[in-house]
Amino acid sequence: MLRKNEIVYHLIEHPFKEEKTIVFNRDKILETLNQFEEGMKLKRILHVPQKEDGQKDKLLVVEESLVKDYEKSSERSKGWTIFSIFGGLSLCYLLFTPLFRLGYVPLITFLVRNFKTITPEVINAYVDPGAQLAALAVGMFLGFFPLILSGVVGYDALKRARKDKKHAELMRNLEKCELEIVEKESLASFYKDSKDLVGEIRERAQDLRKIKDRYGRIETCKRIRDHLEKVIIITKLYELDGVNEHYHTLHDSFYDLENRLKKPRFWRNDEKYVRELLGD
Amino acid sequence: MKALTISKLLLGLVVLAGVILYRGFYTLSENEVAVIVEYETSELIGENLNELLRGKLENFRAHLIAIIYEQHSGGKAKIVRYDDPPIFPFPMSYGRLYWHLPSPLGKHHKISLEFHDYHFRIPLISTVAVDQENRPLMYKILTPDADGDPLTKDPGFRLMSAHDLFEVRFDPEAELAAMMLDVKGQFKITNLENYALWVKDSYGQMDRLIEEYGFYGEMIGGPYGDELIGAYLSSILDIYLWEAKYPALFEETEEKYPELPPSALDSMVARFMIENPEMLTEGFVGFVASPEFVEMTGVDLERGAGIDVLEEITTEMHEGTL
Repeated sequence: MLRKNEIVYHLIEHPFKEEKTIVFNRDKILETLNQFEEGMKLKRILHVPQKEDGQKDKLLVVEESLVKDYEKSSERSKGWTIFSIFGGLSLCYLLFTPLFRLGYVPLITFLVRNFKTITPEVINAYVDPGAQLAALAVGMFLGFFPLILSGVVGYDALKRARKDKKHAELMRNLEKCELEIVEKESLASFYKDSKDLVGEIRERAQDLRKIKDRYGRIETCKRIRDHLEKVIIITKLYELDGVNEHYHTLHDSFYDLENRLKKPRFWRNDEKYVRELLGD
Repeated sequence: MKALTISKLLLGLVVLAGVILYRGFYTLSENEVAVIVEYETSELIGENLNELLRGKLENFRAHLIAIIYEQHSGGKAKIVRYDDPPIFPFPMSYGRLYWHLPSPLGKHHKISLEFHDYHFRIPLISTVAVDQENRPLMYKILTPDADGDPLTKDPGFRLMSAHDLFEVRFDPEAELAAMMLDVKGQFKITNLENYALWVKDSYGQMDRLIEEYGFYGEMIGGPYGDELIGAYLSSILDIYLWEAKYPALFEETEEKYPELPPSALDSMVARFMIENPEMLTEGFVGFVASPEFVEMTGVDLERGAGIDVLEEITTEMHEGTL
């Protein structure tokens, strides 16, 4: 059972490349780091099948890339906020007049329905001053609508940027926590038992990189999922929860990829998705 | 990392600047000129703030909406011709490319130098009685059914009170058949400077219209530019018909048939008008250019607006509903 003041990493074979990789749960790390903010002492534990040189450095690189990921995401969101505001301003400048006129449509429709000829006298007699002001207000609202919309989108992106920045700052605290590398027998057994399966998965991943035919790719995805399911069973067997979650996420991602390949959409970059998924 | 934000900021600025600059571009082909109206910033903002500070909210609203609709008065007008130096020395697909200050600081109206068409339809209604304050009391309408009985067809004049006519004109359910005069013609620009000024004034009258008519001006706007010529000529033709043409026709008929009572003469004139619509616009072009008309209305189309109404007018009469 994990203690609340521990951040756990697992060193496993990369499922798609001839190298090792460290798996972890980002949400759990952030949750634990929040406690560090509150003054609790935290400990980082890297579970390895067998102690070797360079494992600590590898973890430090992973942690640094995590921080950079959050910082980059924060900057990206901030950039989108700024861009959406300028986009809103541009749209507002282009479309203000036609949108403003839309505000008068309900009143004009009412008048055209009820009177054959619209004159100043008719308007004075039948159109309430409140309705006149409302038309102006609605016109102004519609005119500024692109800016309002971009403001809402921008605010949302800014909130995301702040959240990511906070996460990046939290992640920076990781280096202040104590680090321990622990040999785990169950992980070593998992290595041994899943070796052939991982080899199979790597081969299929290689196929996925090479095959350009959509149906061939779908078939490969299915095979990879089958193998991943078997690996998931082995992780369960050795009670490697962290690794289990990682393989579950991978399994879901391949399921998602399969659906994407079945229903291609021109606006989606599935090729990029495949590259990211395979860690290329 | 910061570079990403700065690049998005720059991209946003470029998009905004591009959109603003784009509003100022226009092209001219060989037979076109453009009237460019440019405003001082103080004209747009200073005046508005002044009105606001003085508490003149009506004027402020009028100016604000006129700016939004790009129909505000003032500004300086200049004419840009095809021969003037364009931005690029080579022509684009729609002509040569020019640029003016983007909206709301500047706007342009393109004018074709070829003959312009006008077209309007007017119902034949004349005011026959007014009260002491010159408000219409009775109207005379040329209608295909003078007695109002749908079973009989008797073209002629029908007298109608202002109240009844108001009911017909403003009630969408009520209908009244009337003879409509359909007039098509052409005009040409004789003095580009005067015409440009006239166009500029017609396009920049929304603030005045709102100040004068309130919400009506805000909602309806008015006929602008070439449309205004149609509206202008239509009201001049109305005057010409009832002040010059109808009395002359009536006099001629009276001279020809001295034995007939006025009501019978009226019916005869009505039928003649319906059967010979071209007679009604005959002499109209000459009348518009005549010193008599200029004296009567104070409008000199050719000198004042640089418009010459051309001789060939086609006129048709048909039934319509008010």
